[in-house]
Amino acid sequence: MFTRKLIKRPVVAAVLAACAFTLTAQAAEIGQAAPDFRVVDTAGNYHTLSDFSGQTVVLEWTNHDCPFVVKHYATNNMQSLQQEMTAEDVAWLTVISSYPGTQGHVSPEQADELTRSRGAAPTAVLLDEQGDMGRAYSARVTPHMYVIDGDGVLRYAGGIDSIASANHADVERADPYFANAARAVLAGEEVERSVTRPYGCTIKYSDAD
Amino acid sequence: MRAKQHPIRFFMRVSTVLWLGLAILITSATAAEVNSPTRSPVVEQPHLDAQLLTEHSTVAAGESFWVSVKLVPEQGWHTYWINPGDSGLATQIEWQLPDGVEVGPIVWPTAEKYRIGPLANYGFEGPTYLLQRIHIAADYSHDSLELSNRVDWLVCEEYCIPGHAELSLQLPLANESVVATDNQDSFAQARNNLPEPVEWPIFYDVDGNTVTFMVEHADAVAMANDGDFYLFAGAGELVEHAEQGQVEISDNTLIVQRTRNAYYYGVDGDFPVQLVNSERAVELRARPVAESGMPSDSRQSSTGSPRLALVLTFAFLGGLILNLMPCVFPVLSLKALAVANHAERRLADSLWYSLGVIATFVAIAALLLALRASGAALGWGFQLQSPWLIALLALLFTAIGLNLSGLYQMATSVSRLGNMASGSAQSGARQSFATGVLAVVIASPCTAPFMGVALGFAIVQPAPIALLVFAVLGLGLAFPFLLLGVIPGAARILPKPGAWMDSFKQWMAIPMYLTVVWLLWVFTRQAGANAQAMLLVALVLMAASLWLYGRQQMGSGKAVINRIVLLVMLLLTAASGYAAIALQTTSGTSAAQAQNQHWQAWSPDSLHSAREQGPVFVNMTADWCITCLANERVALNTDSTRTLFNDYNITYLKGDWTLQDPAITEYLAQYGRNGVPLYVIYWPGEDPQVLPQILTNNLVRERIQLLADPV
Repeated sequence: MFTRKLIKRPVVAAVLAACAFTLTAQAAEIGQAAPDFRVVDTAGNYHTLSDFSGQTVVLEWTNHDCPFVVKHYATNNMQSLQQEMTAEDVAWLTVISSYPGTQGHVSPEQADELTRSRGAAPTAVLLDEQGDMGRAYSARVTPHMYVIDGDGVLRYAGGIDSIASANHADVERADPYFANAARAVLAGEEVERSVTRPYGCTIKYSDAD
Repeated sequence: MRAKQHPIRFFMRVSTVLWLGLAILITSATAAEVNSPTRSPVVEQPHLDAQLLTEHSTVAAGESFWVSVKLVPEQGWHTYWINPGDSGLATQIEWQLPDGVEVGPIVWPTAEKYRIGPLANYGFEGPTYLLQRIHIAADYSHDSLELSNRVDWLVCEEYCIPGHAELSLQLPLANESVVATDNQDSFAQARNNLPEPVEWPIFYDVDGNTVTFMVEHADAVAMANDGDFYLFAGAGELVEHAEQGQVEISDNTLIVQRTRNAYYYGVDGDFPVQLVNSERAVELRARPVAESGMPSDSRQSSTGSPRLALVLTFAFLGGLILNLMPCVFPVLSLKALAVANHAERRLADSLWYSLGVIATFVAIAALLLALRASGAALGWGFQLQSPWLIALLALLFTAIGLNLSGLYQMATSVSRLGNMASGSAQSGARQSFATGVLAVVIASPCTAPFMGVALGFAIVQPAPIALLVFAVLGLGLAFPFLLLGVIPGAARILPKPGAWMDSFKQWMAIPMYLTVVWLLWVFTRQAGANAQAMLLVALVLMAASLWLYGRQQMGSGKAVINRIVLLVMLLLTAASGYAAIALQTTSGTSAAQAQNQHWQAWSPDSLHSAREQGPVFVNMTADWCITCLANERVALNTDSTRTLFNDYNITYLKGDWTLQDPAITEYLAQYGRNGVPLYVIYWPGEDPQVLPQILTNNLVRERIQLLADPV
């Protein structure tokens, strides 16, 4: 019996290790504490999740050349959501995880210029060149949206709306999943659909694997 | 050639004219090709060219033909499959077709997987043909057909560009369709790129963070043995796309396990799956695993209702046969006469009588069900799996058979019956109804043997079926009267009572004995040969008791001594019957081990007592459930799992729901299931843990080890 126990141990350890691995891979989970981050913005200031404790936080992954992002900026959908949310004391963080040299990567100045020219209204634009924050959140595409409540709990992850297309006319027709979720969190209500399909362009992370 | 080099004038003119003519011909032919009705103009968009092709140059009303959108992305660029993977968009084709013309779904080529960092997409590189079938209604009367569509795609390399094209072409209609020779190569290539459609059984199950696919086919197993094997799931956010997944193989079953997609939000019903390796590509439709073991929907109606219909037919025939029993038939004759004599109330009388009979039968069934329910509440379930019930039924059926053989009589007096029947053969709806009730009650000594059969059946059935069976049994008994009521002359057809009735009754003993043979066989399988021997002893003792009882009825021997002997015999019968049951637990296990069978039969009792002893693994299965059988083969009846169960002293209980045992139905309901398979682990001190509907050796091992060594 004793020897059997000893033999079993490594197996159990392997199983636990596998679980631990899936846990880190699944770090961004609805109803759980959202992963912390420390990322620089276009002004050179560092932001962490805990800085926004007590505030609802919206994360928006972006790549200004991605046709799906263009769809929501050209139709002014993204900007109006930013205005609506920040007016309610939401911290709206636009995150760029494109590796230098890939589509969507911008210098701080270019990022600010994009904000100005598009009339965007984020709280800050975070430059996540190495993709650490993106990986921590398993961000896959642009635009990929997250809502974190004042307690730091992840409440929504997924697409911006229901129609996966680059067709600008679809913005009006779509079910605004993200906006519904953010409004529910602000109203202190349950989020009806907390996970939706994130559609868009693949985020251009630093290395291929 | 020499003539051309050295021409005379005349010849030069002629040849010039000829050459000119030829040139015109060639030019017009080229023009015809550009405006060919079988190909739309090519629409050039950034990084991708699109075109519409048809397989036929002329089409006919009432027929179908194939068309294809051809997408040619630049080298290194791709478009997307029905499930594009982590990003991307499936190509969409929206048709504008005249009334009476319909288009089928896109037949997708074999998908390829593209890894992008930690993510993956599914799509197509190079010339891509999206085939669709178009059907023209037989009454389509125009002489041409305009095919127009709008194709929307996302074409990606490292970055993505959405694009669209409007494609159209016009085809002439004729009586017969004609193949377009210029597109034959394209369509041949299109078909070459398609996965081979196959009908292998494939099921999927989502459990916690794992999605399991199970394919039951030797060819699937063979395909998976190739290193480049991959399963493309055609449902959006179901599985994580980047990983290869775990592949397990056992006999003819392939099991692929994948991590559930982080954005999973439920998947409805069927979806296409492609299995691809370097040699072969096939497409099949995956169904949720619940459908494989669910007797509810289609399977239920195809197998369940014929079985019920058969049971009801037998119940009706059984009811009819009751009429021929020696103590019922005279009643029938008397009643028949009474009915025949009151021609004016004939129909009403017979209807009320029938109602009385049926109501009584239903009441008996209700009483039985109430008994069963209270029994279940007390913890003794009725089920065919319980050796207790089997042994009792074997004893009961033997007693019934011996009664029919004439070894002894049920205490009754035929004359009394006759009086009752004739006395009540008077008038009025109430009397007729009462006669029906009385006929059942008074005739019960004779009908009891048959009622026993019906009881034995109904006791293991769900309540509505049991009630229905008894109602039909009553209908069978009342049927001759109904016939008399409706057809006045029918009384003459009735056979006359006589000695044949006794012979008939004795013949009926044979099926009873055969039933006992079957019950003994079931009992032996459950309890082993030792227990069976004891049960046979009990049967012999009971037969002897009944023989003595029969002799008493004949009035032979000294009454007191006979009674004492009879009592002793009955006690011995009970003792040996009990011994048979007592032997079954121990001998049952040893018999099981002898057959290399590592499980025991499930019952609420066996589960209860097993849980007191240690961990228990419960497997609810049924013969018609392929998933169940596959799981047993792949993950339960394996050396690895046997050893595992042995090492942890796990009692393995198996419940058979083939006949939809209500005790198991109730157990399934406890876990929110209405079908098998169901696997539950009971670990001392832990809540019962339900396992996924698709098992593997590793999964069973991991779950048990985590329970055994929680850290």
